[in-house]
Amino acid sequence: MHPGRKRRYLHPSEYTERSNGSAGDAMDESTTGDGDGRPGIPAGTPPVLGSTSDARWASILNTAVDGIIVIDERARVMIFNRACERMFGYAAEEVVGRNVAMLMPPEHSGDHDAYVQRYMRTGHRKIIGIGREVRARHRDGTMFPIDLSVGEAQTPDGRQFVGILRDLTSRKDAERRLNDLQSDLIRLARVSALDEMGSALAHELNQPLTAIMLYLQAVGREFARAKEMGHTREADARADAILEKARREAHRAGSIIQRIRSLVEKRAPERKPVDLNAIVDDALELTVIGQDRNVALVRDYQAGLPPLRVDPVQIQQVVVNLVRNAYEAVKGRRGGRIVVSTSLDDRHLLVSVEDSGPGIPREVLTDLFKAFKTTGGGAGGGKSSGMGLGLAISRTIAQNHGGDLSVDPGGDGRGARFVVRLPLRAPEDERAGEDAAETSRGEQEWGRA
Amino acid sequence: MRIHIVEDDFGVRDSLIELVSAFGFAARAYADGESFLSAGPPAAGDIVFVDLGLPGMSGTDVIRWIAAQKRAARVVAISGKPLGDIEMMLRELPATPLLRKPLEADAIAAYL
Repeated sequence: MHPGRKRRYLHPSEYTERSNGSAGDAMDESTTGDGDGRPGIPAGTPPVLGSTSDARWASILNTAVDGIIVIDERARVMIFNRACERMFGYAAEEVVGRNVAMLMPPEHSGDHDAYVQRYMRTGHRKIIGIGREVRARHRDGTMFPIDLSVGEAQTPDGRQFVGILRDLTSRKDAERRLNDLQSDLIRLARVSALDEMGSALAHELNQPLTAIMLYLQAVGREFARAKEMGHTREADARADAILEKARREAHRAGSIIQRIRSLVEKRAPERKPVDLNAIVDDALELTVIGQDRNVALVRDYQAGLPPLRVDPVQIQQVVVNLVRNAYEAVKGRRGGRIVVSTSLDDRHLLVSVEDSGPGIPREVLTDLFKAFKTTGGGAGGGKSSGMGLGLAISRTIAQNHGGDLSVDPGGDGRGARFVVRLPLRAPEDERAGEDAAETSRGEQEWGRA
Repeated sequence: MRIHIVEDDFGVRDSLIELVSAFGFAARAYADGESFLSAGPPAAGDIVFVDLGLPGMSGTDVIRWIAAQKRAARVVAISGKPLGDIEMMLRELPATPLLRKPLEADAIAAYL
């Protein structure tokens, strides 16, 4: 989990003895104040919980899977069980008697004493009785996520706080790996879609390049003529006009490259407020390249939609995928027609892609959104076997955004209609936002006892 | 002699007009085969540059129509499509010179 961490594994009996002993030692040290480098603990501290030789109590502590830390009113560690030793890389005797702040990230450790004092004074609870995900500091200086719940105990010796800690590192690692894999897969699907569009894209770049070449040659001729016969204002104006057209074509080539690049480049998914109509339209510009121009592509965008917080590249990927499927569905049919529309309901923005194909057969429908099913499906039984994967990924993207992708399969003369539904306020976003807020709050409150 | 250009891409069409005019020729341009046909057959000495990937009526149909005229104009096919696609389209046509995009001005000039 934490490469390079040194771990000490003690025999339970050894631990039991040492655990009790060290607590006692800490007491002795503090009362005698023998200054071995530990913070001095003033005399008169309460006796340590469990300092009576209670073997049963010790064995519970030592066999617990979760980390258990008990601190006193002054945040000094009284008990640091074996699971904690594994988690933090400290032996119990290195921690017991010291301020628990040593186990916290530096940005919070300095404030912890003040938090404890405030709680003692005001009784204002921030973490006690509540579980929180917070960061903890390992002996080697690295931070790791833990789930921390804190309980309070009134003892004859004063208040004590019992922390139960669970190391979340492996869960976090697994989540991150899964997220990475998913975003890799999503990106690979984009690359593969562009790969299929490869020759059409080359053709699309050929057009402006051809135009630029010819414009420049034409200007060259004008220029040569001017050299021979002298400049005239008209000739110069003509040359300028042609150069401007060449620039416009170069810009066109550049924007094609940019669209491709934005879909292909590896980048972290990011959500930002976007104009849905603009990103849908941009995706269509790329999708129509090389498609049958006899198919009518109708863009029916609702004006004045509120901004939507999404990963624009992923949403465009969904649009590209659905529209390419629609082209497949109407392939070879007379009067092929695809309607791409955007709209708004009370809580969602919707993108719908409807084709005039044959609809989706019932037997294909069940597996339509399943990855790696090569039913030859897609909207209306197109030929591409990659569509199932595209639809599975499109639905995943929509769901990651807190929305969904659904289909009206049509049939009996009606084409298929795919609808992407994206919440105006993504619940996942809210949750992610709350998580972030809670984590930072939590990190402080872990300091606040 | 007149130069005819049948090309749906605005940039390519417009730059061909500019180039041909810079060479001192009169050019007529059409965005699709249908409008070219409705303008009537080109004269025998004319040259027609026909893009093979036209919307609607195909480039090969346009070329076939020109070739069917009594005193046919000369035809040069242009295309940015992959070679395999081009060969399939040209196979069904009388021998037609082909220029692949991106076009070189010298290659165009050679036919003027």
